Amino acid sequence: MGVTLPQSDPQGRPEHYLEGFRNRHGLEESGVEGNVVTLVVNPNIVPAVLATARECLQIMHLSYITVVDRVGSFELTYELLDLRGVSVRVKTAIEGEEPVIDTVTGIYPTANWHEREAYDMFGVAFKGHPDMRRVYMWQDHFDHHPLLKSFEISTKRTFEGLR
Amino acid sequence: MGVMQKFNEPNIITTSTDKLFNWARKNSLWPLQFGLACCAIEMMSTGMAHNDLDRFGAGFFPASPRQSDVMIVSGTVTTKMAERMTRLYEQMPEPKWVIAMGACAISGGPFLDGYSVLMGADRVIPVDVYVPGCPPRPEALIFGVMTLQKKVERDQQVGYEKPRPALVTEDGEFLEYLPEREYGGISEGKAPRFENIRPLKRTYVFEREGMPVAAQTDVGWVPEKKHAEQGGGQEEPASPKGSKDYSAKKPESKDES
Repeated sequence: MGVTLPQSDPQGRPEHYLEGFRNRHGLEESGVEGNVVTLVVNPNIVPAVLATARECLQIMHLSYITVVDRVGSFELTYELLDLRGVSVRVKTAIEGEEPVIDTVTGIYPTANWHEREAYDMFGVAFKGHPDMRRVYMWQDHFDHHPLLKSFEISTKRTFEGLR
Repeated sequence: MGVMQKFNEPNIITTSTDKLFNWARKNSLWPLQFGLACCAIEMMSTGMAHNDLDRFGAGFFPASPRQSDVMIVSGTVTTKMAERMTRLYEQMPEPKWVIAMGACAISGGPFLDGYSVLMGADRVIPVDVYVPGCPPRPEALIFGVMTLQKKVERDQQVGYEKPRPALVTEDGEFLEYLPEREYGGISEGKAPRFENIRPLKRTYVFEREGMPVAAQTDVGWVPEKKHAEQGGGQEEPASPKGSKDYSAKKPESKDES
C-alpha cells in the first residue's frame, strides 16, 4: 500500500485537518493551538473519528492513549501524529466507575497494546479488542488496577497478599 | 590451608573434609549472571579490572544457574520478577548462597510503596548476606563476598543439624517443631490463592480466541447487549474498511460496519 506523507511545511495543515473532522462529525469542542489540533468528542464516535483520521486525512500514526481517572469519570486522550509535525489530540470522557469504550484496533493496529495497557492500569474495557489480557501486571492473583485513584497499597503488605 | 610452601620431604597435609571442601568452595564462588537494576552496573564494575572480583575467585559470572554458586540479587525485585528469581534460585545446584545487594533487594528501598515491588528478596528466597547501599560501592560488594566466604568457611557437611525453630516451654522443654517456610511451588505459578484478598469488583468477561488455555487465566469480557446496541453505529465510520481485519475474525461482534 502506498503511503503519502504530507510535505514538510505544516503551514495550514492543522486547519485542514480540523475542517476535515468538522465536516464529518459532531464535535463538542475543537481548536488549533500551534501545530496541535484538539478535539473533544462523544465516546461513542471515537472509532468513527479515528477512522476519518486514518482513512480520509491519511494520519498514519497513533502515538499513545492516555487515561486520567477523574473519580467518577475517565478522560481518554488519543494522540495522533501525521509524522510531519502536526499532531491531533482526540479527547473524550467516559462517565461511570466502570468505563467501556469501543476499540480502535481495527483502525490503528498499534492500539492493541495501548488499550491493553489502559485496561491494565485503569480497567478501561475496550469493547471488541481481540486479545484483552494484562500487559504489565501479572495475570494470576492480581485483581487490581493500580493507577486508579481508589487503589491503595499498604507497606505492611506481604508477598502473598499482593499476589 | 592456603599457604603455599615448598617442602623437601613428600608433602602431606592433614585436614578435615569440612575444611577441604569449604576451602574449595569459598575460593570459587561463581555468581550467577543476573542483574536487575542499577545495582547490576556496580556489580559489573566490581567484576571489571579495576576492582577485580577474580581475586576472590568470584569473577566468573556464568550465564546459567546450573553452574552458579551465588546469586547476587542486584536491584529492585518486582513481584513479577520474583517468580523468575525464585525459579532461577531453584535451578541452582546445592550448595548455593544469596547476596542481597542494595536497599531494594533488602527491603524494597525507595520503591517500597510501589504496587509492583517486592519488599525484599528474602521474602521469597533465603538470603545469606545483605549489602546495604543505594547502590553499594564495589568495595561494599567485595566486602559482602568476603563476608560470604567467611560464612562458607563455617559450613559443616558432616554431623550438621540445621537449627529449626521450635516451640518450647518456659523451662526450655521441647514441645514441637514449627513448620518450615516453604519456598517451593512459587516459580511454577501454582501458589495457592490466599485468603483475605478482596476480589475485583469488575465482572467483565473478556472473550478471546486462539489463545492457549493456560493463558486464559483472566476472565475476559463479553460485550453486554446494551453496550452492543449503544456502541453500534451511532455514527458510521467515515470509511467502513477501517475495521476489516478484526471483523473477519469475530463476526459475532461485528456491529459497526
